[in-house]
Amino acid sequence: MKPCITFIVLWLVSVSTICAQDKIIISGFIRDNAIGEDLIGASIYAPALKTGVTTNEYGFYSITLPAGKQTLIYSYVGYKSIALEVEGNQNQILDVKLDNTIELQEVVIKADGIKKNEDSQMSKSSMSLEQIKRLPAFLGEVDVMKSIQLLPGIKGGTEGSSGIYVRGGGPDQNLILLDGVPVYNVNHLFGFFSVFNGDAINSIDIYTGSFPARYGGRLSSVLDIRMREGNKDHITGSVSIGLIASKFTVEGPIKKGKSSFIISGRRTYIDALAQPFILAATKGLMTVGYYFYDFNAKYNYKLGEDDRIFISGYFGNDKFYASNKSVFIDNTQKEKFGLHWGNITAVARWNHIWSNKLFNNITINYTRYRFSTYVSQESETNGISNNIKLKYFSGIRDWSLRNDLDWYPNNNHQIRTGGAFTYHVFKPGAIQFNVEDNGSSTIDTTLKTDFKQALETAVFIEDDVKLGSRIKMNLGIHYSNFYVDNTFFNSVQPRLSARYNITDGWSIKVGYAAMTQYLHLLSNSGIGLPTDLWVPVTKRLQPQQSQQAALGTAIAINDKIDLTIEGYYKTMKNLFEYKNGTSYITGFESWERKLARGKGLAYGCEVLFQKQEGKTTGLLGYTISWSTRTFDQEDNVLNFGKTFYYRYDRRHDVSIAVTHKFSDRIILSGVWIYGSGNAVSLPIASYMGQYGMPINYYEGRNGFRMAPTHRLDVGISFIKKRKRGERTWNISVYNAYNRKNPFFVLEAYNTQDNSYYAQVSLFPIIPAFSYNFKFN
Amino acid sequence: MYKYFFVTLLAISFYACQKEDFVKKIDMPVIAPKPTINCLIGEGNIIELTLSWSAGVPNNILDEFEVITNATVCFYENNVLIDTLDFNVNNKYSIDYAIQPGNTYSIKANVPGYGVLSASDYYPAPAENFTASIVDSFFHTGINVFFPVIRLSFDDDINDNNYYSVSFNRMAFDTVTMSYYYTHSICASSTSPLLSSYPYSDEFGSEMCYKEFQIDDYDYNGQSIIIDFKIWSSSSSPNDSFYINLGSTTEVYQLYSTTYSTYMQAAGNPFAEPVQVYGNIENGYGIFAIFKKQSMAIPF
Repeated sequence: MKPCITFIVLWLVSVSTICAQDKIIISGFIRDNAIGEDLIGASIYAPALKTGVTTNEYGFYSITLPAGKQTLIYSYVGYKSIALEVEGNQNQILDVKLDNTIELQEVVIKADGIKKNEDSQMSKSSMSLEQIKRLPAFLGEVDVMKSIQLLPGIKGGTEGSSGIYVRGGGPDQNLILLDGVPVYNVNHLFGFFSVFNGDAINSIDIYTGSFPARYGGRLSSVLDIRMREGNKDHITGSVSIGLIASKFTVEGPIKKGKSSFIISGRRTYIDALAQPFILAATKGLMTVGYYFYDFNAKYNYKLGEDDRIFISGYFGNDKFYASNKSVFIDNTQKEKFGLHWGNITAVARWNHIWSNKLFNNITINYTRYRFSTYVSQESETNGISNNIKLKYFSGIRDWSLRNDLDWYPNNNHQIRTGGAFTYHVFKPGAIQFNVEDNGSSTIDTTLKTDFKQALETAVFIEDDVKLGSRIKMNLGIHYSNFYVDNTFFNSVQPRLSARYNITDGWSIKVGYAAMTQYLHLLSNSGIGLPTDLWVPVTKRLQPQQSQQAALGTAIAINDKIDLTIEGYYKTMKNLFEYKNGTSYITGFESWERKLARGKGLAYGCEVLFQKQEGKTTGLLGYTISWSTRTFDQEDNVLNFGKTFYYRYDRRHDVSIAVTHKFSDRIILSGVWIYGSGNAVSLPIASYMGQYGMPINYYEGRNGFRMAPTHRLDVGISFIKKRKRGERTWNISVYNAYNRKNPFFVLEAYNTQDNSYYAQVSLFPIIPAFSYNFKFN
Repeated sequence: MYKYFFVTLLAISFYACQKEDFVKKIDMPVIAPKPTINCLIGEGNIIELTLSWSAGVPNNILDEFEVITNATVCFYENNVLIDTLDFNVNNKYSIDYAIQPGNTYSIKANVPGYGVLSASDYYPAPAENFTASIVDSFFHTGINVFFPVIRLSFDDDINDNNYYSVSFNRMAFDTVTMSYYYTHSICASSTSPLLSSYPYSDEFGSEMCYKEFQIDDYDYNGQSIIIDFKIWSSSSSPNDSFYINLGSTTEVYQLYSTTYSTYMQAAGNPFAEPVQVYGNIENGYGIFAIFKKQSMAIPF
């Protein structure tokens, strides 16, 4: 207790130091000069004082300087740095605009930020829209989720999947935020694309460990995606026509200098293109189709010098449908099957500057994810119709209120504090059954309609502290609680991230984070099917918890190449897996009873080389890791209590991304990825059972390794400036050497009716092109 | 520079054009066949054991499980050799021996050209004060029939970790032979917390029906066990009899029984998680387990 009090006193003294001295405060916003977008994480550095700060999520900064003349350097990756002289003995508001110099020779996926030796945060990566857009496209679409899978420690699931598995964690352990709102399912096209339209994205920050205290609720990663606000200077936009999807973006000021908007939409037309061929091939008896669409919109308005409001939203839907018609002499039958899922998010935000040291953000948001699947049979016999329809649906929705305060007492502290309150409604699964007999409904019932409500509260405080010129730390506490079914759960989660500068170009970082998660995702398949059920914790299914420690180093090898090496060790408990023999669609017991509870362990090392400048830029990432699970408690035993490998335990992961700019008009990019095989449960022998039936023998759960995955994607862009804008032809080849990577395993039969296990692959070599026009 | 670029492009194109199937057979590891023992010792004095070779996967050809006919199978009681088992016309190894409660029994099978397999289990003592009677009935609204509620009662031995199984079956009376014969097993349900690892009811609140129940004494060691079962069957003839079977089992038997039952329920379901069936044969596959069954007739 005494050391704790001593620490708090010292901290308070440190925070209040200098406040009484003769200082001035320079504060303001840093924005893109051309389009007015806030620059998040931009650097403001006073070289004479060897001190600096960074902008927050809204581009706001506050720096304390001694009265008199000082030089400040404003910089941001991909932008031209500028140096400004400030003079005076009074506080100043100084908004700065930086020019975007991205001619692409500076485009690089950057981990740890440009301030790798300034930022105390470890296990963090940042990407900008321009960086993502220059990577090779999949079917003409560049995908945010696929791009971040190039970073070490972040693994994709199976071929084509958008789900991510971070440091041994599952796909439900990632907090994915769009403008601060959680998105529960980020998959389009069964996981092949994500819901994020790159044209509407401003920045992406990814945390894989050492999470700042302002984040909570998931164990393994935080993906903080911010939408763009729209060009504040003039109306502009772009149109993109691709092989399977097209999209548009329009943005601009509503009132110059006061308000702006951006809207962006996307839709596929695979169904329209393929339909005629399917109908022709099946003589009109069969239809199969799929489409998705999504829409992003954002509006911001400057109420005054100290106030801004933002309203943004997203909605998107996916629909897969199939039908088959059979015609008989006196009877026709039609079977239909469909899957439908989608997200809606809506957020309203108010920024208020209380003083040049105190920035406030209040957010109200709503998010909803729902999924349904249906099977129906319609038959007509001699004019009498009979219809049977079975529909299964589930979903989750949240209403949330959040307040964030950023306080800049002096240059040695940047304190954030705040809280959030969320009301969850879960609908884990309901079945609707209809029978119609000759137009009259004979059975119309909905089973298992009970839903669960839960309240989640969180408060946090964190401080970015500088201790001298070499040591910087981010210390924080996150407290959360969860109330559901008359049961109260709570958790205190300490957080720490620190760096020590050995030299200007070499730093060592350490980090620790305890995390708690009150939601579980029941997912019976790893192929990105939207049949995922979000369920809350219960008395039996306790909150998932993790503790992770990390140690790493960041080195600037020369002025062009950076090296980051990071090791981590993570323990997890209250993890859940389906018990042997169960699945989400079989058995009538409740979903709780189908799950076994256990613990997990993950550890590994991640290495990242980056080249940041020059005509050729890129990265080389390598991860070696282990991830295991142990389920040995009574009534929760899997693999007879012995430790087994996690399904997504992949020993080695390599990713290489290179972009070369031949000229202002031609850019070539390539990505090569390699991943060791996933672990699956396949029997290795069979024997005769006691009662005369063959029994398959498994060498442990997840005891078999699939073949490794590797793939080369290349793309080339031809850019030409036109009178009214800029056009780009993008040609890409996915899986350039036609590797048949494993998608899943099934039991197949040959022509002699002998069965064998086979690996099914999904994508061959796929060339694609897209045309993009950005108009001024 | 361009020369190297085009050469690389040609090489990639050449490799990409090689034909490779989307569905490709997986080269499963070649596992040498292992002998499999199946032996469950329960009623009567005849102990029978099957011994066969394992096969590759996937396998649905029963003929591939070749019976091993030339093995030497020894039977031990408390590590003392009792006798060797004889191979009979039923393709089984057998011995006529009355096992006694409280003893540990083991088998060792020497398969020529392979080696020795072994396993052991103990013979549990029968449960004491076993009683069962109809105490109530319940009305099944779906088919408008009254079904009986049976109360099972017995005492658990405080000294050991004990395991039990409960099952029900119908016996019909043969007027020719003037004896009862087994017809079929009967489904039952129960919400008793004494049962091991059971979902008592489904998502719709209905009680779930099983053909066999497992009980362990972890939380009720040395106590009287009383469980009510709803029997999902009614009498179709005044001469029918209804049997409740209480098996005193071992941990080995219970592990095998539950995993095998789960395996069979999940068989053929492509969405189900794989099931590992428990086995205790050292250096081989299969099961060697012992149980003691007590049965009681309950007339409808």
